[in-house]
Amino acid sequence: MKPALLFIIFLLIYSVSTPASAEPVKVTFLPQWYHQAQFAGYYMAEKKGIYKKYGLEVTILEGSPDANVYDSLQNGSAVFTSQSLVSGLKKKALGLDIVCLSQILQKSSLMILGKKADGISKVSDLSGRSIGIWLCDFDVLIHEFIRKNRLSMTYVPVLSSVNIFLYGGIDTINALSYNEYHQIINSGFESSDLAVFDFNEFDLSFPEDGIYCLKNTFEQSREVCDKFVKASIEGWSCAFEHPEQAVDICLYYIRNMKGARQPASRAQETWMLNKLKELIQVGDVPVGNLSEEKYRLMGQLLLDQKVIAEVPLFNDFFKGSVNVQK
Amino acid sequence: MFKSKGLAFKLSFWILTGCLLLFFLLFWYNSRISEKLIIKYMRENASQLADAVSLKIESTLNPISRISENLAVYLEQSDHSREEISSFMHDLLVRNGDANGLCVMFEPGISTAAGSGFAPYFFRGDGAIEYVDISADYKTESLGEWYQIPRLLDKALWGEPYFDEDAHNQIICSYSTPFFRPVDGKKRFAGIVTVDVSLQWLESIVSKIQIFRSGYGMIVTRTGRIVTHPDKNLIMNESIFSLAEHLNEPELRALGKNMIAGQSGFARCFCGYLNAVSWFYHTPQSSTGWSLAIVIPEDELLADLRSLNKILILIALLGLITLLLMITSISRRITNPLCVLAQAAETIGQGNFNALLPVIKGHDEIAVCNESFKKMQVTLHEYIENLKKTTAAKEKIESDLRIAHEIQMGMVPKEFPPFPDKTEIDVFATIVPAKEVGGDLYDFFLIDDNTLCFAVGDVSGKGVPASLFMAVTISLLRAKAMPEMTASCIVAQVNRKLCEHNESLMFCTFFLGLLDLRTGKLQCCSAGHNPPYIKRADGSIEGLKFKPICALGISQDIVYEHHDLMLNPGDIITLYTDGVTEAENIDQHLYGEPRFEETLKMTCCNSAENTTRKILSTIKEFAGEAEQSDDITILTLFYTRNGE
Repeated sequence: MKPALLFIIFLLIYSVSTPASAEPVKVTFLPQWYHQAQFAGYYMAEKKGIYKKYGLEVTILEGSPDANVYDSLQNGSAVFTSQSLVSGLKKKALGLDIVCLSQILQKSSLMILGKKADGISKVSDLSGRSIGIWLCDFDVLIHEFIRKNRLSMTYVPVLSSVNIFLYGGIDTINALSYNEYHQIINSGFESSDLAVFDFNEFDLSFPEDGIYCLKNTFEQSREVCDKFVKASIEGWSCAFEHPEQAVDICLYYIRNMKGARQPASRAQETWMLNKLKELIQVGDVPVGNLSEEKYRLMGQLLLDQKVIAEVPLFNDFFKGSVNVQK
Repeated sequence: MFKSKGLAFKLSFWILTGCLLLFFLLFWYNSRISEKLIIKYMRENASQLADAVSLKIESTLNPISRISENLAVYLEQSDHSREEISSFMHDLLVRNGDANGLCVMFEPGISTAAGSGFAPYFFRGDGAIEYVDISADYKTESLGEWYQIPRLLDKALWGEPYFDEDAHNQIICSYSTPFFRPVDGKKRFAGIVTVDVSLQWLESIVSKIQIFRSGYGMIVTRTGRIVTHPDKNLIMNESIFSLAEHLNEPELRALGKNMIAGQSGFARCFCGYLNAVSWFYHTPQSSTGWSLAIVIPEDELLADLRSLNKILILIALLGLITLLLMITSISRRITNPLCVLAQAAETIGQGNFNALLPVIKGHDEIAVCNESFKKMQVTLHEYIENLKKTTAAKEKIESDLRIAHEIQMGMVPKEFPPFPDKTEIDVFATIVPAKEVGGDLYDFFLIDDNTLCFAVGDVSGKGVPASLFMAVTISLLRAKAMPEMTASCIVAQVNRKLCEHNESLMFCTFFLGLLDLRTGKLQCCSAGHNPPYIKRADGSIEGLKFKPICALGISQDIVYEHHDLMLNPGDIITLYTDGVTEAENIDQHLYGEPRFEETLKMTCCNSAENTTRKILSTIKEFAGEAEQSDDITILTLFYTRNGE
């Protein structure tokens, strides 16, 4: 048996057998977005005492589109953060020394939505249309979709709101299945009214949210990192087992935000949690695992679009294999 | 099902069932119509109320939207400096107290006198109008929907409300107006002017809507988002569609679609806030495209009707109970005397005609029936008394008749053989009486040692008169038949005597024979009687059909003739009455003379009795079950001369 493996086993046994110390380790977690059920697992882990059970005292910070999670990691205001794979890989390739501790969302939730009433029902109908696109790292996937399908579309940069689509300012909009799609449904559209282009059906099914921290943090507090990941995954399991409680806790976080108030709708959060379950618990794929193949494909996509110059080594990027739960 | 039940039960059941059905139909119809009318009036009231509220909202929003439009016109009319624009905006905000903020953002690349990097925003701070230049946030702000939507749609409009972090998270709504500048002779988009307004005033207007105890008003935006609602937790958090999803109420979702489609309507849905089925009147707001809904809980809307319905049901129940008591009372009043009558009828039926009948006052059908029953009782009593008397009388008459018949039968010889020492002759006779006493007769006796007198007769009519007439006839025959007299002489004398004092005009057919036992000479005389038959020893049949002469008792002056003929040894002479030939079977066919002759032919007996019995048996066989209507009398004389 290799010494490294022996060391990992030792760590595992140590972490389980060692009782929580009297003084829990204080860490912070910064989600990349406003409070919502997208982070229900972390809320559950915190509110249900799962982090505490692992000897952690986790403060969940308030995310927003304006919050730069990497600055927060570097300046120490956040120890752990949630980020999409495309974003994390891009930042790593651009020189930020971060590591992915666990890959939580295994599938893509990204989609393009159009209105059938506008004559959009198949991919080719998208040509010549305007598309509302977020100015975030997801845009590379949108560009790839348009390139692969040889479409010609007018980009309209948009913020997080779907109102511009609802008011008819744009023909199509990028959306996440667990969020914007449902916002549109709950603005009076029927699912049958919408033309949905799910990226999972167009060979663009890339994992999304994962848990990240600085490489230094990982190397210096590996045990804390492991505990945070394990407790978070347990928190997700708990959220899926008790969805109503999870939604209650999500609503609690949303309603108690100190920054900009966000809509707190039980229907929306319930939908989001259900969709996340589909994205996290995907068949036989172990929770927390990052597929090396997907990683390389994503890297290649970023290379092709000249977003990055080099794909970081997988082992330098992903440090979560020991915490993968089957 | 109710066969074994009494009249009172049946009467109560059917009348109450009918009444209940009638009440139910009336109740249902009244309830439905009333409900429809209430809902119709409520819709009209809600419509008027909604129009009034809409007018208030429009009268507040329209002047605010005109601020933005005026500023846009100001910017389009000429190229103003920063100071001019700022001064104009400041003045506008000062003059229009309802507006919270005013902003101008130029499109990048547009050349203006104000220069680039100028995005003035005037807003009401804590007690004063404050200014900030938001051009530093251009990248973010220009992606905001307040800028993007009017720019892309190329028209001014009210956007979706939002929480303003900088204004203590108030709900703000912006009216954005695009403005244009001529560039190279063409009209080109130059930027957006926006005016902000807090929706607190909107909340205060809509919250004043109160219908019944818990009815309320609410406003949803074009996307269905709730901006005013008595439940503050719903405001900006939920849309009418997310509520519908949470409550799993498809009707609420359909209502929401109608609302955001700008329609007016009045629909029935479940309201989660009131936790009750409610009526939603909704009407669009022309300037914003939002929709105002007035929610009226159905329970409260129809409370008066339901109270009325409860009272109606109570009245109906009391009515039915009263009706039940009345029916029971009336039916008992009807059935009790009927029961007594029935018992009395049974007692009377058992023979007690003095059974007491109930005393019923009034003149209704029961009283009439009771009176009729009393009369029937009296009549029946009298009838039975009469019947008793009649029966006694009849029994006495029958007894008399029986005695008369016995006397009658006692007058004819019944001992056979009658003359055991006279071997020349064998005589047998019988009368088979019918039910009623008849007038048939037969007789035979020796006038002297060698002369046998024999006769058969049939008196007209039935009963005692006929019986007496027959007795008289036999007595006269016995009295008048003397030796050496001819048959016609005897018959004439009997006739003469019978005609005397025959005031009742009875008569008797009669056949008389005088047989000389030694020689076989037979002298016979018929007075209208059936012709006898002689069956000769050789088996031939001979009917003694003489010239018809009137029966006895009709006229004294009738001259009777006698006829002489010879009987040879072995000859049999048979006398009979019409009871033989007129015997009927069940098909009312007569036995008749041909059949009688045939019977005589068939008999091969050498005894008078056997011959007689054979004839009787064939008659009985022919008649079968038919009732005998007349006496049957047969006299048979078998002449052997010397007992051969």
